[in-house]
Amino acid sequence: MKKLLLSAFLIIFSMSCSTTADSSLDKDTLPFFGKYRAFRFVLDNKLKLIVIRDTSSPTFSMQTWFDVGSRHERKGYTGLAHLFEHMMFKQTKNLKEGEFDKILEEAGAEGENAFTSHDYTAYVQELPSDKLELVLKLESDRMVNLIVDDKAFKTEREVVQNERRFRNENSPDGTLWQELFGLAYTKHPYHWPVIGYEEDLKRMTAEDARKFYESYYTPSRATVVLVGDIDPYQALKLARQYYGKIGNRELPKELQTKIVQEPTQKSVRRKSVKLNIKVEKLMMSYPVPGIAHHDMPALNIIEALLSEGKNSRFERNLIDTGIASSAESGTYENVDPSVFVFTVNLQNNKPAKTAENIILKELEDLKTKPITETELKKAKNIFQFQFIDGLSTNYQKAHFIGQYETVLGHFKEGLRNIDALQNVTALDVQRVAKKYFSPNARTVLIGVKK
Amino acid sequence: MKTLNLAFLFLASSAFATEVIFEKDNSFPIVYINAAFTVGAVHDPLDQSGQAYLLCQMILRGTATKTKTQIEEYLDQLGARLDCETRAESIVFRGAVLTGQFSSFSEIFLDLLSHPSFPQAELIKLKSEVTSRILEQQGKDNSLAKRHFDSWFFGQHPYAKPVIGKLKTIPNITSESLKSAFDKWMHAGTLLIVATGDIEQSQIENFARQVVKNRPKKESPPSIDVPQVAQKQRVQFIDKPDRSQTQINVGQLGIKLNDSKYHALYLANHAFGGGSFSARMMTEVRVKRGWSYGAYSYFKDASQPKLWQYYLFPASKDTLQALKLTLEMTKEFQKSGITEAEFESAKRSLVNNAGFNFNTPLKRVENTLSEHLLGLPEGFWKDFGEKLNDLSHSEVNNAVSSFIKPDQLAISVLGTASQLKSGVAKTLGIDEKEIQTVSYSEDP
Repeated sequence: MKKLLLSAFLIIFSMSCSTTADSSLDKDTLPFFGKYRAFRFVLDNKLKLIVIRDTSSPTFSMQTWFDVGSRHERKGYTGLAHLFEHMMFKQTKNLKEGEFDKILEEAGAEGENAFTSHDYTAYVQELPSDKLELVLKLESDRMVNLIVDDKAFKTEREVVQNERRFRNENSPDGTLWQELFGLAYTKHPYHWPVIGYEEDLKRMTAEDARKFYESYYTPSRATVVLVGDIDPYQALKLARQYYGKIGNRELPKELQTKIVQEPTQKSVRRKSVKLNIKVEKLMMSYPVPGIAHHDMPALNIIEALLSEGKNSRFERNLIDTGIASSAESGTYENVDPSVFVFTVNLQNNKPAKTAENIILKELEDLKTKPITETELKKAKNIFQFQFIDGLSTNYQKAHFIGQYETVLGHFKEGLRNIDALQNVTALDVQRVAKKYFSPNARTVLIGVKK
Repeated sequence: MKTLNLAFLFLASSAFATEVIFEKDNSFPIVYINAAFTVGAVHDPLDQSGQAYLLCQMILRGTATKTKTQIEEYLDQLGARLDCETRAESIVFRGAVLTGQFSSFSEIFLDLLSHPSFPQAELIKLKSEVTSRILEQQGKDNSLAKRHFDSWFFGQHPYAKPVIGKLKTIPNITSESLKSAFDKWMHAGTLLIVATGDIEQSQIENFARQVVKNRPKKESPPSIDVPQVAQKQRVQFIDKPDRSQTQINVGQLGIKLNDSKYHALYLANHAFGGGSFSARMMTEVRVKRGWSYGAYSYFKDASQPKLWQYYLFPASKDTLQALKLTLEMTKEFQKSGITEAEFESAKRSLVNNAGFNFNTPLKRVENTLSEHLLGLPEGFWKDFGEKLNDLSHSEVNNAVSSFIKPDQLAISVLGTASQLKSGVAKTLGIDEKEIQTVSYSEDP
């Protein structure tokens, strides 16, 4: 999470700027969920603005999502997307370092933060509803006027290196996640950790960060989401005022190369890592498609059957049997072909191999025995509840919209995925289990005591 | 902020009296309902630390008529969630269910709260899981460091007891001891029902009435004494091999939320290390020097004064400098307080942000729950911003000057002793022998 800066590069935001005649992509509002409807606008510079009005409290959530993550990095520059996210909190042409935070804090901002993933980067905050113009002004300023100076870059790089020690080097789980993706992906950028490799972080310069900013922080890659006590047309007017003048920048030719796709995994990959731990840990993954694929709802049902709710198959066969203290499963929701991951914390003196064998047996059962209608209904109920519960706050609604707008182009795709879950059949579950859970396609990471 | 619409209901019969807090919210077809009891880890017998945690979990693992599997399958079929959270001074069952399923959900919730059976076989399994979780925590430096720090800081006081229990005390807990604790402490006299969602108040009242009927009022658990801690500097080193980073926890005895100085100290702490990027600790440690991803100070709240603490996790190479800097900052904080500009900025920030304490129905009912559990006056959280707004700069600095005790800090470092222990002694100007060293694998 968090922070950085930029210079006076931006002489170039020329071409696609227009301050007039922004078009509304959808003249009418779109249904979101329950009583909520979404206003969806696209400015002439292609920046998307989505507004959901909820006047139940005089506050709102604002999230700015950029279509850039570690997936867009190149070898040797791993961690740049995340490091740059930190730099976004530094100096701009109009604000000294620290002023961005201070102004928002004094305005009463709640949860001001940012996060970077494989596929996207987002900046989030919540504010009292009379602070809309203030935050639009500040966010639009750092989208175009950031200054990346060498000194601030070096300090922030230190911070990120320390974050890396915290999340990866000194964390058994962090270490294993890095190893798992490093082993499961051989060519695709998902191979490297979002936080980057230490050697790349050490080598990176402020100039690399400046180029990154100029390349990716452009209106056509941005979605601004506002949820709360906001007048949608006032928000549109202000968005035109503050973002409308920002021009798009072309992605430099050297970055326009297609992302390398991952070759099919044909054999088991396995690694054991010695750690300062007292109980063993297991992580195991299988290649699955990206988030837009039509098999994703059936994979979600498999996740629910295996590890969601209180009486999942893992609860019965891994935890109740005294083998594990916790066991989870699920698909990493990535744009490009992804992985279905199992994570297990073993109980004292229980070997990870035992858990691995049980998971393999569970997967074979899914392939050979159709699940019952009762199990299927249960899985769907669990997801339906999680979906509704997961949209209960302004922040959560904004997050759902921002994520799907960024990775699938429209929030409706996220709602479609939820609807599709209700149509999954027992046969779909069996077909998908056969298709993706081939024993030879797995990657196994075991954390053992040093 | 808008006027709140909280309905406080007091069930009539004095013998069965308990309290229900409810706010209707029909934004979504969902109901959130909590049952809280004012008994927690602090009430665990010394040799049975972890009892409240196991009690809480075991209530979900069987009733007179249903097994754990039947209960869990039933809840899953409803698509409902029912978890139990154990805290130092309370046990809270948290339920959530789609409105259409509330009736079925409330039936099983009532059964669990009324007729738990504490099956022996389930207890054996749970103890094994909990033991493994404690061992798993030893791999996580931040939680490991805090577990050691709390235990060391509070010594024999009940606040020293870890909620999840200890490796040496978990085996002592039996079905009988859990049954006895349930009978003694979990009844109408310690119960509070809190709910919000798309449901009628009468349905929540009806549920509460039935719980109260099944669990009539008995005696209250004993109150907790004010912790007595050493009035001198203490130093602890938690030795863990191969660390490239350390965990630094520094603290002193805290303050009660209803102490007259609390708001002043809260504001001062916000300026000193309260988590914002403009706070002194964040500015000096992270923004200027890049030494630690985070550097925060905070109060740990409880019914008695608990902790004022700060926490940072610098690289091993920066640890001594970071420790020295933050201790100097603490001295300066005590001596000079915060500046006028810091005071104004912190006040603006906190007052403008105060509405977020109660901007959703869920937060509002949680606040009321917290007021009851911590013995705070009604409206404590709602009035929080107003109280801060009334403070003067001198009030704040006077409170800091009398509260902060730079010479009585408990200083704990988790790292690799061979690399850092002598440096810590030198930085603090003490003999290495004065540092209490403990191995990370030794359960406190």
